[in-house]
Amino acid sequence: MLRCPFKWVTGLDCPGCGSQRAIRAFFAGDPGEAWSYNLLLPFLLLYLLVITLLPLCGHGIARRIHAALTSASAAWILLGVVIFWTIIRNLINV
Amino acid sequence: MQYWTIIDDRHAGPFSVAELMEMGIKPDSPIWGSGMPDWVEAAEIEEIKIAIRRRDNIPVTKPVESSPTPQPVMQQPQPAQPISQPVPQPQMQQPQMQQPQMQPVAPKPGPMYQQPASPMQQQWEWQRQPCVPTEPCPPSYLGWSIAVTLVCCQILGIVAIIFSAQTKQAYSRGDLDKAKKMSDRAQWMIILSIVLGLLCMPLQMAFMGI
Repeated sequence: MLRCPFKWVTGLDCPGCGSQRAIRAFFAGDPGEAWSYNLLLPFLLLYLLVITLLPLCGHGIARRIHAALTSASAAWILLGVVIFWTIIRNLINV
Repeated sequence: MQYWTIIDDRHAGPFSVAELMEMGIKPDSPIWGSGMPDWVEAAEIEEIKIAIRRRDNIPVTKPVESSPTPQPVMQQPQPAQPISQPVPQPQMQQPQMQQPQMQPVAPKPGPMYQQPASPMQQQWEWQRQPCVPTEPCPPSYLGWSIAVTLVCCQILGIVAIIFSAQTKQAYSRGDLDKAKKMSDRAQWMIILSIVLGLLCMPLQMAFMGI
């Protein structure tokens, strides 16, 4: 397995740390364990999936939701969440 | 001010207010203009609301003086009467010129110019009508930024998220140039992040002494 360069250099967990272990556990058939490796990962993956798929159904509502999800405020919120998550996970080791 | 609308599930525009009126915009039609953060209903824009009221009450007089931008003298292509297409002269018009309404007799702009549309006009019309979303926001790469933050290089990924947020912000202020610049920066951050992430692998292997 590849080690995260951020963790390698700083010794701290990055927001994505645990993804490889999570994916391995998920495909080994243990979603619960997979989630425990990176609590934020499934939500961000869901978000990525949604904003990728929404434009494919080109209805007005889908377009509106997509616009809201990719708006500036959404980006700032995501940024806050990612930074918050990084701090928290390093403080309490999750 | 130029506006976009949605016809048959596709963006169409830019149109002046007068053109929107001719297209039969309703108060609840979706409208977007540069500088607006999101689509709104036509009735929420004062200028358009007034124009709709005038059109519906007094169909003969056009709401011409309420439109700050000149209408390029264009109509919807109508298959029934293809001959009645006036000459488009968009580039000749100054913002203050009220060209079409010089003739008070004519309810529609430019019926005096009736002549068969040339192939070039038709082509222009074709490009305008089913319209690609011309000006709408440059890509903010938010999804890519998030993905890159998770997988490749976190710090550059986070910078990319900041740039993509700024893209949208600049765009919603109507600052298209800045939006494009920020969009480019976000894109570069993502590329850089992926490259760095890939470079790290062999470096790591070397250090860890595989």
